[in-house]
Amino acid sequence: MNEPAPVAPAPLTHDAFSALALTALDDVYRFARSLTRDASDAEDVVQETYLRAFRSWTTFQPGTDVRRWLFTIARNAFLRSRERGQREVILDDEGAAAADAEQAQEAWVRGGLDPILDRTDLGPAIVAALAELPEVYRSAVVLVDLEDQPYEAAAEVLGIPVGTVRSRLFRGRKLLQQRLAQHARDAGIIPDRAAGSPV
Amino acid sequence: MSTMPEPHRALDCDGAFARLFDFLDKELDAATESALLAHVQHCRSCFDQAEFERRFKAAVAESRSAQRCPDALRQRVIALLGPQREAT
Ligand SMILES: [Zn+2]
Repeated sequence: MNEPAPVAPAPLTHDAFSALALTALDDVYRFARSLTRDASDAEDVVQETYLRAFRSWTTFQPGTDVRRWLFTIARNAFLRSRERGQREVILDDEGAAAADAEQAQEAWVRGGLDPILDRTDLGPAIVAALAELPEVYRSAVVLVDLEDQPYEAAAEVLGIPVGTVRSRLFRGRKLLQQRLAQHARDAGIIPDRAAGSPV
Repeated sequence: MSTMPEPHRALDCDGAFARLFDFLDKELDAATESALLAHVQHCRSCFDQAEFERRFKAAVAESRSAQRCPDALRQRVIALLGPQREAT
């Protein structure tokens, strides 16, 4: 009680930083996969991210979330690599165009997914469905739903306003539910009988 | 209608749905959260919707374990440390 409150966490050594950064490797890999359609592009982003992180580790503030710091580096590495290659056209309108169809499918999707959401073997189907989403939605869903980042952190990492994070999450989750219902039906996890037909 | 903030102002179904995802993502302030919970406890349709979205979010979070960094990439990343580590 008489001890003074710690003003700042102790500075990290290079070894301690490296160990901390490596605990986030799976997270950085998943985020990189959310940014790129291609697995080997994602691996390049991960390597580039850690290369930069190990070089400029002294700019990391001890006590802050190392994943958020690495996600930001990964996003920048991804943007840099995309400038070098062919620029991918971002179909931001894809979701909006499908909005009407979504409305009609909502009940079908919910009815189909409801009985299977607690299954423990659903992971691979979710990963496959996520891979089909446009990047802008996928990266928001991965940061918030898989990596448990607050909206404000996701906004900073992605370089967009918090309101945009919110709308991308909403659209992304609805698209993900549709793709997942389709995957589950194709894989026979949802019986056609239970799922009905998509109007 | 008052424009004063009322912590316990009731939410209707539209209001509840508009705040549902903020609630599930733990982004709501305490007053709005209790207003939402109060609505959901008394509205079957919003309760069902909230339960579905909560379970969906949990299933998506659970899928983390289905995607991990491949071992070969992990080794390449660790190898990046080699020379630097010896230098320190
Ligand atoms: Zn309601």
